[in-house]
Amino acid sequence: MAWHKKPKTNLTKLRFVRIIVQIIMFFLLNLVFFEIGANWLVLPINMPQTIFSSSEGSFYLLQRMLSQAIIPLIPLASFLIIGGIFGRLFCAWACPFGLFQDIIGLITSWIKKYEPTHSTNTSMRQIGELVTGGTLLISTFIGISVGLGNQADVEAAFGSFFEQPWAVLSPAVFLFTAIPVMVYWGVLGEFFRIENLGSIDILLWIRLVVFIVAIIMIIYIPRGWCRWICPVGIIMGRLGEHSLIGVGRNITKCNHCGLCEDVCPMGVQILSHPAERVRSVHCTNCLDCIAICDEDAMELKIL
Amino acid sequence: MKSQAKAVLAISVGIILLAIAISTNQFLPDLIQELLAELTRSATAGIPTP
Repeated sequence: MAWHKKPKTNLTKLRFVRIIVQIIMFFLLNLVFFEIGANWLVLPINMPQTIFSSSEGSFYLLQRMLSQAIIPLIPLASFLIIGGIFGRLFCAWACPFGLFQDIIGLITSWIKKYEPTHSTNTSMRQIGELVTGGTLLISTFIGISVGLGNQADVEAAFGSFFEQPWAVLSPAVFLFTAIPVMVYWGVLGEFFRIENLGSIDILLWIRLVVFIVAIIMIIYIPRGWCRWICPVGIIMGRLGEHSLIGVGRNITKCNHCGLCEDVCPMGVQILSHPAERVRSVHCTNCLDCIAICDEDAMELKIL
Repeated sequence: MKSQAKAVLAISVGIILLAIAISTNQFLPDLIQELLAELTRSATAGIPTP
């Protein structure tokens, strides 16, 4: 595919701007570290509570509230309002784990990426939907049981999975919470002493394995975790299909060159969607397709 | 139902939930800050305590 110089420069500039915005958002979510004060943003992003943050992503808060038998009005409102207006825009522009995936992608850009087919994308996403649905089902069950006064029994039965079932396995929690906590508590070194390896909790080993699998996935599939497994992405994707803001194609300008599909980090088959709007569960409104389009056929559309 | 109608429905339900949250004192920062006072046991699962 012959890429013209100007669109390619536009794409590089846009990706640079996006990474800057993602970094700013990451620091905004961790203001406690800078002793600037607390923030109370509840956003639909894959951001767990860290030792430096005073808030957490909607999906984590939703589980935490359910485990305490509180109707999760705030997280649900955040999903519906932000998802209904912007779709998955926050996945591309504000999610810290999205930033981590983009950085891994940049560092390993010399490695040939795997381009999953449409059917692979669909089937793998079904795994994510199962994980999301299962997690929500478990959390709802816990919430109802706690509401009925069985907290002690349920807590004993679910153990570490009681408050936030997904947090135990999430690589984002391992990266942003578990590793900093281990450093803060001074126990990270235990991993590096062979005599201690046998005494490390099996749950921590499982978390480490999931984290490594996620990194391998991200290296070979751009935003692999984001497009297939992330529960926030799964929920926001469903809302994003119908969101008010999204990208569309001007059919009179489009020459079907396919550059937009080539650069899409989520592998969206843009040309197979109706021209007026790309209504895909994967589209994160990253705007790469707009930046690369030589004919100015791709545009941001409202409604 | 058209996509725009679904989006408007989702946003409207979200605004209603937000309004209920505000009127029932579930809105930030009070309750959320209380909830987030500690990291959950799930987030620190398996980590040896110092």
